Amino acid sequence: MGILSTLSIGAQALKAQQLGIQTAGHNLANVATPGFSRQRVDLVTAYPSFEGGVFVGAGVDAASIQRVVDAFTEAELIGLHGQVGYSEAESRALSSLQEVFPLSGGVNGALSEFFGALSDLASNPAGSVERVSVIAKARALGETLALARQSLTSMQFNLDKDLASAVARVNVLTEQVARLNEQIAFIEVHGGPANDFRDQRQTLLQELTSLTGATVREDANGQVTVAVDGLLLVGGARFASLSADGLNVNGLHSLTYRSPDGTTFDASTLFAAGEIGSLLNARDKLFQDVIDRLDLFAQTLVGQFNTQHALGFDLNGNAGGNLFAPIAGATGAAAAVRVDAALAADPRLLAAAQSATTLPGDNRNALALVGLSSTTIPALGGLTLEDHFLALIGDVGSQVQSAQSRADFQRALLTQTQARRESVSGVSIDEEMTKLIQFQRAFEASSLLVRTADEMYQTLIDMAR
Amino acid sequence: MTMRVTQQTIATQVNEGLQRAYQKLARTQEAVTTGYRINHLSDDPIGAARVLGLRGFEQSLIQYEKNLSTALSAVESADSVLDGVVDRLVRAKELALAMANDSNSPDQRLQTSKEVRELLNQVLNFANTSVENRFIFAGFINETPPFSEAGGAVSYAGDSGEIFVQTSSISSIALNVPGDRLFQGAGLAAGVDIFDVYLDLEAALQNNDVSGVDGIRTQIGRIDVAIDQVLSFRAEFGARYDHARVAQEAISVMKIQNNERRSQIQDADALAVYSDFARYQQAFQAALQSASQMLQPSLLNFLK
Repeated sequence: MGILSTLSIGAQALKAQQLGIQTAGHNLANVATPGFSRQRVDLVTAYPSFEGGVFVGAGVDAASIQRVVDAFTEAELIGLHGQVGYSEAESRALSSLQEVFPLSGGVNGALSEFFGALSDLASNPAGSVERVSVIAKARALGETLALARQSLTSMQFNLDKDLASAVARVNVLTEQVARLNEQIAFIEVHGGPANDFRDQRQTLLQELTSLTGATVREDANGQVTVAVDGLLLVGGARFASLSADGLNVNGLHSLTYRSPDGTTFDASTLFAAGEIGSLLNARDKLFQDVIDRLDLFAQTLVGQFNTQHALGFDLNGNAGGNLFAPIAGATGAAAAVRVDAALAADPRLLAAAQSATTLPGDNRNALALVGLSSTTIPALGGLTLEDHFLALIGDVGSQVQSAQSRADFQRALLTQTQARRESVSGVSIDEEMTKLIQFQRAFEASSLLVRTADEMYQTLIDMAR
Repeated sequence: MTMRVTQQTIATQVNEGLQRAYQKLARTQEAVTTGYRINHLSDDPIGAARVLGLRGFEQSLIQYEKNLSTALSAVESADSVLDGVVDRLVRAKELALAMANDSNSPDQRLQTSKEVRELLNQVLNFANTSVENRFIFAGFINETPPFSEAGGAVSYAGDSGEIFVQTSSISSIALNVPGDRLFQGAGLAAGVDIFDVYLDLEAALQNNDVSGVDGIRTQIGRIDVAIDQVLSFRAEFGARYDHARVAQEAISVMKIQNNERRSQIQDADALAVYSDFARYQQAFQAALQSASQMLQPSLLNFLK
């Protein structure tokens, strides 16, 4: 037991209190840094010395600086980011989808106006005004359909662009996570926890899972392995990359995966989660399904009207030609509904009559055309044209509604979990300031101890003189 | 364990709370300005599809109304023509009855035949009535006058087409009666050709034939049949008129009901919307105020 050990306690204490002050300062400085977890100096009593039959306290040791985190919450947050990434992208995509189908006007408005014009024609089958009006409404119907389809495809292309930027971001993130893996492993092999690097990596991982829905597993050496459905994105210091440069049949990008060792393959169907999975699903399934149904509607409409029209006779006594320009296949049909060119040039070619000998007052074929409004069509699942369209709209609406409520729910869950994390790891200014004062006072006291030891030395020296 | 609350916790809570309150306010504001509860498909997908269906149905009701008024005016003009035809037939009967008296001289009968000819021309004109350039008693072939007289006989150039218009999804009404049926008795059980009657009466008067097979007395009987024939078609037009009127009334009721149904589904409840709006506005202001007070203090304010 010597004055030397008293001095040593003071020096150790000064160091520990200063560490405390610095850590409180670090916490306060990062109060607004996203992803930051507050840090804490682990103070432990130093190993006591055994002198003269008693254990004598040897002061304090700053064992390490730990970040305060709850591993379970952190893992949950990563999983939730994947779900939120998916549902928010889906909700965004579908919200724009529903604007293609307004609650007044739109395709069904144009359809009922077309039937109205045909009905007017039935009241006055030879009337030139009525004939011109039928052609004008048929044209308007075609244009409305084309506009709807065009809006849908341009939204599809926007999703495609979003996909490309999401992919670019993934590549940045996988590389950064791999770098951080390397640094964390290096630092932790040499001693204390790599607190700030871990925070950074956690933030990047949240963004990466939000984009890809990847799963994250931490290895024994502190590195993480990130994988999507068996596809390795990051493993230690190695990372994969994605690219969206190939084009598929619809002129949309396909997703190419390039593994860390350089093998590449098409992974368009492998991503089912996260924002990328959601964008692919919206682009290739949700939007494509609506486009296909609209095309089927258009193709059936043209076929039905042309068939019925050909059964009639025009004002010149000739058998009816086409009402709409014929459409070969369903693909792109909604963009190709046009009034037959010959008919558009000569309204007399509209076949309102049922016989060549009953002109011009015969309106029976016009009535038959009007009757198509209540004809159920097997190709449309036994629905009428209008009902098929309303069913489509109903489906879109329900999908949007459930996507929105899913997104709201996931978002609320994420907010709650973030609040839980904040409660554990967040910096409280008041708390840190309290610690600051606490450490400051302790520092003052420890310096007093050093001075006391110094005076004790002085006393001893004076004594010896 | 009590939850640690940090400045960030409060900030997030304030932001979320304000955002939620503002979103509600914006949605209510939309309902207030449009007057609709459903503004997007997702607001109520089933309701939205029904609204669109009801709008489509409303369109067809409007169309049926238009068709009915076309039918009403067609029936009215046909009926007023038939009214004139009956008058001419009654006049012909008067003349025939008068000339059937033995006291009349052949000369008087010859004179009267000229009036009968005049009546025939009038009835022919009636039968060739056109409305907006369409001959209403010509069936489908209604671009040219259906009836013409040549060689002592009136021939029909129209056909037996009946022009129907829809008055509901399942019923329709004819705008016309083909002229050969109405004026010439074609297809009727005991039909008579009105023009024939006139021509025969004219001939009988000219030939001073009172009681022969084709004589004046025979024609009187045929005129009665002709009058009955025309009257039965007037009754037919009357029935169509009633049908159209009743249908029109039914449709205007249906339109109102349809509108009410759509309104029930789509329209915002004004009272509820306004009180919601006031409520959310209050909530928003309260959130703002509490936020401004929550975010201010920290230990710093008290460390001097």
